Amino acid sequence: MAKKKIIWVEDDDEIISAFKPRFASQGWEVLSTASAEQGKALARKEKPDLIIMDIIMAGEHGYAAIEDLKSESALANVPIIVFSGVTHRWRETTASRQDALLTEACEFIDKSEKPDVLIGTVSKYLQT
Amino acid sequence: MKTRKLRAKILISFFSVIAILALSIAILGFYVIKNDIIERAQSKVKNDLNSAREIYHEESRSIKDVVRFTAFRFFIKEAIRDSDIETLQSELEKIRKKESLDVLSLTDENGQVIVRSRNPSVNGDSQVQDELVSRVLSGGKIIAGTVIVPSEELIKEGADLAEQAYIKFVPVPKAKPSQRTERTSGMMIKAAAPVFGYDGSLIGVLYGGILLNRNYKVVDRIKETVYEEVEYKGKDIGTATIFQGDLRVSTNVKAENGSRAIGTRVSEEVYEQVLVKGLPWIGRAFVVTDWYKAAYEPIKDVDGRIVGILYVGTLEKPFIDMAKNIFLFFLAIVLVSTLLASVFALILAGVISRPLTYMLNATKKLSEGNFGYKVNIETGTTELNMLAASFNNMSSQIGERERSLKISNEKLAVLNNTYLDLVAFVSHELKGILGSTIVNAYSVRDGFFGAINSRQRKALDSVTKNLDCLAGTVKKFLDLSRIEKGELELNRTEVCLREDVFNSSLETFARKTVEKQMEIINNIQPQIKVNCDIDLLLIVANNLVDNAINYGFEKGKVILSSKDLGERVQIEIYNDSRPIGEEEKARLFRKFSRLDAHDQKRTKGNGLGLFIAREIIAKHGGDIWVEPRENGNSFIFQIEKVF
Repeated sequence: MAKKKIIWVEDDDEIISAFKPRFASQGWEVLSTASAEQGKALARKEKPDLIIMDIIMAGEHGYAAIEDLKSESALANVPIIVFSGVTHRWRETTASRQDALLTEACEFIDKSEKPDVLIGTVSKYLQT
Repeated sequence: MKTRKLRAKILISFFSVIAILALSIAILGFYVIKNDIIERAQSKVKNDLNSAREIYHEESRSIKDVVRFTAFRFFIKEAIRDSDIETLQSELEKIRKKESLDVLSLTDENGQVIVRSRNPSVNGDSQVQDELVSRVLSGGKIIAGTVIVPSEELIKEGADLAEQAYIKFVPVPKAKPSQRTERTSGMMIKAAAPVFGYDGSLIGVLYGGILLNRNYKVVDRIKETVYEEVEYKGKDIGTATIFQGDLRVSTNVKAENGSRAIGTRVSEEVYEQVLVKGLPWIGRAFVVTDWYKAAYEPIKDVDGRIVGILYVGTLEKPFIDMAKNIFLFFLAIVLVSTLLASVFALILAGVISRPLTYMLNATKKLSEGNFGYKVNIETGTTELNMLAASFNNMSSQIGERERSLKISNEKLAVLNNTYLDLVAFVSHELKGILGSTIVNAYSVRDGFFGAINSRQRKALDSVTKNLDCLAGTVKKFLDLSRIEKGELELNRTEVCLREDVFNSSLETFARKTVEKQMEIINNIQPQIKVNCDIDLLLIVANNLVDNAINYGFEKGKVILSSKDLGERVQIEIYNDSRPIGEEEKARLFRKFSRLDAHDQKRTKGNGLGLFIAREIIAKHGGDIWVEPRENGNSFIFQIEKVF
């Protein structure tokens, strides 16, 4: 079985480096990038099994990137997990977040949750 | 209550007072005028009757005088002595004509007629049956009075006299019914005087008089004297009548055709009062064609028998018209003063209501946001000036307050923006930092960065636990800040409370329940669906389930159950725990309030969970409360289903 490929769009590399050993122990390959634009480009190129997306980043924010990715037929079925400090509603993005919620593949996980929560959710999506 | 404009109210009050006053004055005036004039008319007619009686008696006296002086004349004594009928006849006739008597006749000492100056052809009959003649024969003294003369006696005195006396009845509706239709006797004022011879012995009786029937001398003289022939609208203002019995025999009351209204009879009412009872009658009477103020009194003969009636009457119309004119004049005054009062009322109503209207407009301006708007304080009324001044004061104070509020609001908006920035910072930066710290701590604890000994592991257990607690607190603080900012907007979707909310919540805390060896029973009915904000309901569920586990006994039960109440849904979260006291119940849902945990090991908490839960439930139109049970507590909430 080929290694599962995950693209993680996150501008805080401390988080990524803290999680990397856990992801590696699960046998997952993580490709990380610090901006939404780069994340989209990477996704088109790599065709990942799953995308983890931060929301507040320099440049384009995560919701816009999710909308774009979901509109591309090649990537529309790739599950996206939002992993962010923003779990309460962000005024400008309420509508798009609702849309994202309706897409079953999307999950929201707070950055301050225990690491098991993210690992558990990712593995749930990768198994199916 | 019905509301009216102030102006209308003032005017209505004024008009009511004016109308009541005017009406009272008018009614009072009408009665005063009417009574006064009627009284005056009444007393006048009484006086008129006195004058009329005097004139009537005057006539009687004058006849008496004529007869008396004639009886003294020598030619009578001599002619009787000489049986000179011719002289008697011619001399007496001269006197009769000169004195306008209808009758002047002479009898002898036995009452046998010697001569009738008017009708010389009839003589020798006895006049002893005549009231006056018999009295003179027996008493020898002159006498005068009113007498009724039968037709046959009148014929003796002259056939034309009988004809003059004859009166046919004219039917009158109010008169006393009578079988008779005519009257042939006559009513006379008559005087009789003795004639003495030179030796002083009675040698004859002289009698003379006037027939009153169709003789208008007396009544016209009354009219001339009392009423001075004044006319009112073509009608005599005053009238007089002599009645023989109840029959008008001499009058100047005119019938409709303008002729004198003889032959008519007096009303039954007057008949009873005057002819039967012998009393005067004064009052309002309809005489032939018009209403009169009338006075009637009996005419008596020498024996005191009632033989007729003397009447005077004043046309009522002038009095009525006078009353009417005075009343109209009076009414005009009342109307003019009412009009004036109304004008004043209008002005006054304007004076009062106009400044209030200005004030009303001013308050409108004020409510439309024109703060500091001023009204004119020179209204001309002290109280209204004060009102206007205090309004202006209020207005400028509101204006001032508005300005300072605006400044405060601007400051607050700036502060709020700063606060929002802070929240964004906390939510992102703090959580980012916290997130990587937590991951690193867990990774170290779980041996991802190399093996650790048991003491390190124990320390790191404590670190991760505290970090989780810190993360929870930050999350709740963010929820609280959202609530306090009023940012809590419901994003309703169809939610299965068991599946989407409580199962997920129980999953989150599954590890903790295992640690505390608790038994979790979820009896929430899976078919219960609610239209609610799932994120917010999850916060409520997490807070309640977390509390139930944290404050529940080890190896205790946590039981979740539901009730469908129709429009609402009720969820109950029970745990085996120390029942909450009454005084604790109230403060439980307050901000920063925590359960007393004296008999348990200290449970970490921030006192925000229940407050946040209550706010969210309230936002969903529901209630949340706690009910202590025998060996535990139930936290219960109800929310509206909204479909």
